[in-house]
Amino acid sequence: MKKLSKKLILLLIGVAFICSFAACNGGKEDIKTDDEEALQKIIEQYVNNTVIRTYRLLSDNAIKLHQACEALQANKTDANVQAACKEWISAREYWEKTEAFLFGPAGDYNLDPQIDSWPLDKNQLDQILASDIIQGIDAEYVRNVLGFNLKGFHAVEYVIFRDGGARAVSDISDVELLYLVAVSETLAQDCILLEASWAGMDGVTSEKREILEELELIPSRNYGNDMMMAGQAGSPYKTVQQACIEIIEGCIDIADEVGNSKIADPVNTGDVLQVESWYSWNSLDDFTNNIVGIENSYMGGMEGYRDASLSEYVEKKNATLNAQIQAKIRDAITAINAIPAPFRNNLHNTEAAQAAMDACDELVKILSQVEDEVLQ
Amino acid sequence: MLLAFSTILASCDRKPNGGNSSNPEEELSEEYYTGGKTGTVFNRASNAFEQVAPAVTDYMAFKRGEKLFEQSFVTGDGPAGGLGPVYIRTSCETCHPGYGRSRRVDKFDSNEYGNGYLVMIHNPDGSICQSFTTMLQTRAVEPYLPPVDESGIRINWIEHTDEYGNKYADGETYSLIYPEVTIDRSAILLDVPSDYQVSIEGTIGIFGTGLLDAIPEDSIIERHLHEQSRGYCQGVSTLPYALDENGEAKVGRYTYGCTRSTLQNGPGSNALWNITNVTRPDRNYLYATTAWIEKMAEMGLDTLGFAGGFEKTEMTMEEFDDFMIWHRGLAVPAARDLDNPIVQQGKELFYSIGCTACHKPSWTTGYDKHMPGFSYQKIWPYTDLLRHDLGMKNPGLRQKCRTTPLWGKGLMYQCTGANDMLHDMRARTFEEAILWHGGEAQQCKESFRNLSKSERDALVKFLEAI
Repeated sequence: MKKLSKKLILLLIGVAFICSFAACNGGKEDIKTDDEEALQKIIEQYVNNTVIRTYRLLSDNAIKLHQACEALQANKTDANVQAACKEWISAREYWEKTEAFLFGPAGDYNLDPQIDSWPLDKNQLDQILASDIIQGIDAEYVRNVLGFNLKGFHAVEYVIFRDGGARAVSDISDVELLYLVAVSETLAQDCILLEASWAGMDGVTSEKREILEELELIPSRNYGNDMMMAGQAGSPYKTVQQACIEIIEGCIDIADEVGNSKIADPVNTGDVLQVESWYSWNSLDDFTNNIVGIENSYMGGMEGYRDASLSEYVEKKNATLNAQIQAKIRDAITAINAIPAPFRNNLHNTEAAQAAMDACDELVKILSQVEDEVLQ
Repeated sequence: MLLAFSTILASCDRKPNGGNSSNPEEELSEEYYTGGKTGTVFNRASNAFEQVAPAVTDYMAFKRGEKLFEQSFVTGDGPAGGLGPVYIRTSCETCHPGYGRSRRVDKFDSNEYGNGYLVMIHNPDGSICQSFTTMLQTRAVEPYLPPVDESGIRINWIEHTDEYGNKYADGETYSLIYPEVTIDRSAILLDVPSDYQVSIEGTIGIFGTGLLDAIPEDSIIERHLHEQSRGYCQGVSTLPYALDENGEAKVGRYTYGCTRSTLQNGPGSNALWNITNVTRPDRNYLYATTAWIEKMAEMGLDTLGFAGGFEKTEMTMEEFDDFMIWHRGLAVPAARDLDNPIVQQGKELFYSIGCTACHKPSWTTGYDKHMPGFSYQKIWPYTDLLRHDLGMKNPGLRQKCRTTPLWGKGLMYQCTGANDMLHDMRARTFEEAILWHGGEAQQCKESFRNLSKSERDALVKFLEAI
């Protein structure tokens, strides 16, 4: 090879410097690399078709759940309890899928604790049911006065589920129904706020917008835009790579949580009360949906709405790694499904639980490799 | 040329972009390792303050401890049980969103995540009014009532004009605000003197506190002597003041008042008990005043269980040990962008205008019996761990505050959704925080005021990077 002239070397250094500086500015100089353009598309697909689409389905289903609770109050039948339970399970499915992206408004706006605090404070709840407060209870009271442990999914669950199934309507008191209608309305409102925090007030239906406007719950940030503007001024993400790392970190956190807390705590202590959904016994579905949330984040969009994805990007850089990640996601789902249901009655089956915990650990490890090997 | 090229790539901050790996391929300067080699993670995502340090050997214990921090406590027995009868918040995380600091708010609401002010009712001389616990309790489990109905707490933010008419030397203007806090007399259930005053204090981030614990006490004493011997910024030490877990007086290094000396008997160890009133063997008594217990009895409520102030134990020492492994083991996010020329300019200014007089950049840890992996690490917290008077308008109870560690501050907004600063969160930006540095730091503030716009921006870029 010919020796490069000194001038050419300096020129190359200069070009390298400009390129690297442009990368630091996330392409502000309009010199976006192919990689950055690909990552930009992945972020857009993630925001619009994974995050916002999941939150939209969550809030749609939470509204339906509230309506089902109202219908139950109006017409106390076993069929209506069952209908409410069905809606709870649907809404819950999407909530669990969103746990792969708990960063942003879920924490910043106090929404994760409002929606999914656990355990429920049953003693205080029973006191409220026995007090005069209950006669005047409404969503506003629930929002403004009650603490985290008295609202959200698990408060609704307490009223309509028992022992893993729909509760007999004859067991549900009128005061419980008053409580149910109020907490399910607050839950729906909080889910709408989450959707609007990512999609913007213009990105939700006029019906949802009106609900938020009436409550004066207007998100101060548009988290979707913040992420899609990665690399530009005003975005917390200085580069598109950083935004993609945020996506992966969201996945890592929930994979770790499922394996090392949600499954590990009850199995290691043998304490059935450590299993989250005490009344619906829905935990294995919760865990599976957590992993599906990871799958959606990595594969782009969600089932039926796949497009640009981290998976495609990793495939181009390191096809083996992509194949491994896809396999580890499937392995985790399979291992969780291999735990006999309901989880709470099978804590002694430590072999199946350990296999699921190991699969989650494997998923954490392989996802970390995307950060270290592909996104740096 | 290869070297030049790799330097260029490093200037784009390749590894510190994110990731949890602790072993970057490139040789980074030691300042990147904010928490030393064993206490630093390369993560700049929203979960950057929540990471386990490489020094932690029992990850499952760390996870169990993390759960205690995150969970919302409830009344009665069972998981997360033991809340009350009177309490401050239901969970630790309520006041430490994203494991960081609380936010500046207009309205106190103990049910709101991030709304994390501690409130103190005190006499004009700074002593806490005797009917109340130091950290005011505004919640109680039915049928008990809290000492104060929190809807009567009023936080007003007042515009402040400084001695320069809120103008930099180059004419650019800024705005400053400070809090005035009151509690309606009608909202106070217990006896209180007529001249009572109210102060608020924001929480402090949790990451890195284990590393601060590993700094030898002698090093802090030495630093104190050094500062006392100079003619400016003479930091105050609280020796001998803060008791450790064995009841021995040590140099305070935690809280704005440096009221706590060791992590084992530190603010987190204490808060796990007194914020929720969940008792455990080493704190098997109720966090409540006699005045409150008597008031409850006077109202005809059952206070027999509180006789002598003791309660049955609601948390085991094993659980507490897990909590401490988590607390101690939280890593510090690595510094970022330090090779960026603007950040480097800001660093030069940070050192040259005198910020390091109190924001001491680095310390070296000693042997750490609790977390041996943290031993003998060079760490970069940017604090002297001593208290100084910044001459603030309406400082509240704390006229002299511990120099705030600056590590990780650049990630606070992303990790917690807010980046308010100073003890009562009055500063909304880094600039405002610096501009509140009067008193002992007056000279430093004046130097900052006289910088050009681009120099001021560079200094802030440095603060965002560390």
